[in-house]
Amino acid sequence: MSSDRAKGFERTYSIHFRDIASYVVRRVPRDEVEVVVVNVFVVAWRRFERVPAPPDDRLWLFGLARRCVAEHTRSRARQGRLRAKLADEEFSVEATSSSAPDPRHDLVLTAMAKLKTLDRECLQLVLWDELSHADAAAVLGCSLNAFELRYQRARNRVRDDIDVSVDASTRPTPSALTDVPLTPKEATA
Amino acid sequence: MTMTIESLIREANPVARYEVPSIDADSARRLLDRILATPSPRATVRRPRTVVAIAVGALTAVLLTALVLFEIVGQSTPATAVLLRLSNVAATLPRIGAPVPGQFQYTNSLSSDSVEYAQLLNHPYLVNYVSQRQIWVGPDGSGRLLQTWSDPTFPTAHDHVNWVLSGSRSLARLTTDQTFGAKKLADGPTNLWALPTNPTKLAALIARRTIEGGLEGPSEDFVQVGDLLRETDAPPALRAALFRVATKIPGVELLGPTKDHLGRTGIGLAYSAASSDPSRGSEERYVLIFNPTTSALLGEQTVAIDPSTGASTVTTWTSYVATAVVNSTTAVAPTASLGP
Repeated sequence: MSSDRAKGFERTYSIHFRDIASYVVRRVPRDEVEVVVVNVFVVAWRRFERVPAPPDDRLWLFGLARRCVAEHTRSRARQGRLRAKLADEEFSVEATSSSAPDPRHDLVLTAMAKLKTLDRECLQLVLWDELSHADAAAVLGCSLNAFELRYQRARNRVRDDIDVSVDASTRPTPSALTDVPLTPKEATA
Repeated sequence: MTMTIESLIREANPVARYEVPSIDADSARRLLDRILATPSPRATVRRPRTVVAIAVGALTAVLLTALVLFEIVGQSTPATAVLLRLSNVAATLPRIGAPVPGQFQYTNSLSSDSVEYAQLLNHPYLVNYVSQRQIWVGPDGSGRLLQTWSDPTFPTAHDHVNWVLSGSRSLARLTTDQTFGAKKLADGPTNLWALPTNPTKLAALIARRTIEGGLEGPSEDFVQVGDLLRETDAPPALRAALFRVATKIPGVELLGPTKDHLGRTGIGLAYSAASSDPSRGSEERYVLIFNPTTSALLGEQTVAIDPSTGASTVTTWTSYVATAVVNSTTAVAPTASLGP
């Protein structure tokens, strides 16, 4: 095993560890984060020759992390539909325990927990993991057009849900919670 | 200053990036050392051209022979032949009615249950349990879930050491007994009766992930067929169709007679894919074991294959002990209900 290979991997790891760990920590229970993060980077280490050169390596790692999280969740859920259902609900348990300072944040997290997994992933990849719409579409393996539809639908559902559930004391004024035209980040850059 | 819904979602991020350790942290370095210590991939061996030519010739001959055999035996492989036989068995079984209001589909299963205890990047350790899971599901998705666990065991001495380093917390798991209202436990078994029994239509629904969500690809197809075959109250025609759907999934292997964790022998069918846990092997085989007489699913196993030695290790298992439609959430089925 050449030391160049190890050095190259170490460089990739040092650049992307936080992004990938952040991605994983928001998607699996805290006590299972490490095993998934290790899986991601062990696979990357074993297949290092196939990891694209920067800057494409970041996207490749996100795609890998997504598959590892999905595999992990599925293996936990494989014992039956009930487990799958409960696993799907873990997002809300984890998310609402964050005690966000703004009361609307809990409403957002609750609304996001109601979304279909893939729709929720669209919002998370763009707004939490800071991927461009095109990159997020690539991670999810769908066209940009399909992604935009999902993203828009998910965003609107969260907005509508908040509009319904927010009470008078915390409801923002219409001007304080406005929608924006759907514009891919890369198009505005 | 206006706030968009996107800004609000961005702010609601429950885990900020700064909460994750940086690569400079000792814990992140230790993690890197662990990753680099995993078995390295085998070097690619360049074969001489003559060897390649012979190999190509032999491969062509094998493929031609396989093609001829494929035509002769009616497009059948050992796996598809067994699946078709199981389909025929399923089709001739008497109809089992779905539970009606007041009744419940009862299933009793035993399974391995591994729990990874880990504070992020600190002394992780694995603990194994055997879990007994009894579940009663009514037609409206209400029911009861009763779970008990065996005493904990450590898979390796290293896990035990890390448990001590982490403070030797109690690992005993208490029995849980939960009851659920309508639609809280499952969507109910009635959905199975609404599914098409035409294998082509059923395969299309599975492939589009209309019945269950999930990743794309044949590996997930196989898992979802297994999920539906697990439901023993499914109409015989649906079970028969599911086995036929499985014949069209590329890569399904016949393992032949296979024992489940309780020592019962059934017919093993498997799908192999890249491991979800690389530390356990480079390939993972998902095995379904069927009773050849009743077509019932006796058990499931996940098997890790060591890339260097080819040795296999069962990493997770489930055995279905009993299943039946019962009249209350305290009634149970006899253990012989799934056959030998």
